[in-house]
Amino acid sequence: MTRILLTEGLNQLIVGEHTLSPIQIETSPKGTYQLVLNYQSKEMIDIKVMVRPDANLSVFISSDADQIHCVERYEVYRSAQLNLAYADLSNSKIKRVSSIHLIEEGAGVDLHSVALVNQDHEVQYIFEHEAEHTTGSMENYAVIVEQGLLKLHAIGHIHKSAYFSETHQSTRVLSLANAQKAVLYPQLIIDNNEVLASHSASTGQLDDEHLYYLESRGLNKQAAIRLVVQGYLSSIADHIVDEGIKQSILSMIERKVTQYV
Amino acid sequence: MLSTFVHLVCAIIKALKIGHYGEKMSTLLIQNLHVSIDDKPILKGINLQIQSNEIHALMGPNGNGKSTLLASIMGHPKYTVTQGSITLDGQDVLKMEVNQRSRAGLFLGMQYPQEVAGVTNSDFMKAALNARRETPIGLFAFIKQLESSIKQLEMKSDLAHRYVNEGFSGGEKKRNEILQMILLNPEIAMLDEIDSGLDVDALKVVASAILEQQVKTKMGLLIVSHYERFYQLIVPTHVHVIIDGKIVLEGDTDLVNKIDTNGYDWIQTELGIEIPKEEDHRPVVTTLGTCAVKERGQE
Repeated sequence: MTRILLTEGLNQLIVGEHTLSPIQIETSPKGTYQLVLNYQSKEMIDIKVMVRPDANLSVFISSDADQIHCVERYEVYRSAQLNLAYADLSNSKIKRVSSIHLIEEGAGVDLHSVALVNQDHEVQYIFEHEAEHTTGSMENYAVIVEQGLLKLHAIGHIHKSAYFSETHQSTRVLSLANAQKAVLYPQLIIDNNEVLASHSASTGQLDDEHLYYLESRGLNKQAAIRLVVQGYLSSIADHIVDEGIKQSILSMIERKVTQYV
Repeated sequence: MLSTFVHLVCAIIKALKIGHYGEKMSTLLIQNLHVSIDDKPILKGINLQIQSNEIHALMGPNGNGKSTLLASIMGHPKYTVTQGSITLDGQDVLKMEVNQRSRAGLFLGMQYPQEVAGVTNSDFMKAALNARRETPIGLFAFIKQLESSIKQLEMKSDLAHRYVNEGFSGGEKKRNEILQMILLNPEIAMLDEIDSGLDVDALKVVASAILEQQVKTKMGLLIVSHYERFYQLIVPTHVHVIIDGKIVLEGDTDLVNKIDTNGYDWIQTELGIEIPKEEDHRPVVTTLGTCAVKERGQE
């Protein structure tokens, strides 16, 4: 097992072949923390992250291995906030289960994921609202290119004990050709009546009217499609705290969009 | 010898396109234009010429082909031109892609501007400007230009960072169309009911911005509006009435006033033509899947 106690400010961790799994990461109570995780291992990655009371943790996760298989468990304690951002932009085959447990009153999570899918990509994002006044917000954006196959489970589960909790999720998937496939499983499991909850999901190709509108301002079709795709993926930038990492991800998105679209 | 002759001819053509004040003179020429949607004829022989510095008002009852004409000039794929021609300064517009028409100098301010999620106004406009330049526009020059137009149209300062038309009110969408027009600086701008959705104050702001641009650039304008008030702010040099896919009457501002006072029925009687009833060709806007929303405390 690898145990890491985060310090306030920026923490970076590369998870390679030699990192001992499982990995347990935790904050101290209170304070603001940033964690940048980069997966470079083909082995199964098992991570547990604990956000202690009143702490604020922003996690940014990207991967560079050909194949990623990971199980992530987050525990968010009293009045703590977890901000999770995933950028799946490399040519990886990805299988991920990420469960976020809001286990004490006032815990919150904000999850934003973007993916450029050109291989098998199967992910599950699960919010478990286990205490009162917990809040969860999830936004997923994916663009499918080439032979990409996306399976995405977005689950918000409000337990019976979680009075006055809120869970919201939206998923938008764009496919660029007829043969591509995306299967979305948006789910809300609500065991308490005193809650707010919503979900939305859409999948499809670019709207012809959108393309006409963009082209009517002088963009050729390819430039119009690239602009929309880049817009989908660049939404991650608002969820990356570190300016250097943000710029590097935006450049990467530009390169990838030019490569695939 | 031959090359001297070619240069001379080019110089004459260029000189013909330049007006007395040094601006480029443009002509949009529409001849005998017939357009169908799904094999149903909508336009049945439109003839129209719009030149720089002219302001044309296109009026007519709903569903008689005004928007179809503008969309056909811009190249909307839904419309099929079955006969006739459209040229811009002698270039065959019908052979051009939509984006080429824009870069050639045509602009359409749309009645129902699209919402494009994920694409910011600033990225969109920068891409549109760069599409007509050999070298990309400098960031400073672009921001300066954008901010000045935002101020001129009295729009919210966060506009640049908002997604294109997403969550905009009807009035904001129309202002955004005019903002785009100002930035793209077209030779001929077509405005399709750009005044709808605007309150009285906003109408003045938008009309003033259009006029300022028109005076500055001498662009030609083709304006579709039902309201005399708009034509009082932007006074047309030419007025056309389109009924059943044909221009049946032409005149000046007196015609606008007469229509405002008497409607269109007198044209029916006077010219002995029947005005077809409106069919709704407007796009159906659908949103996929927001459900299971439960308000707190409700069963």
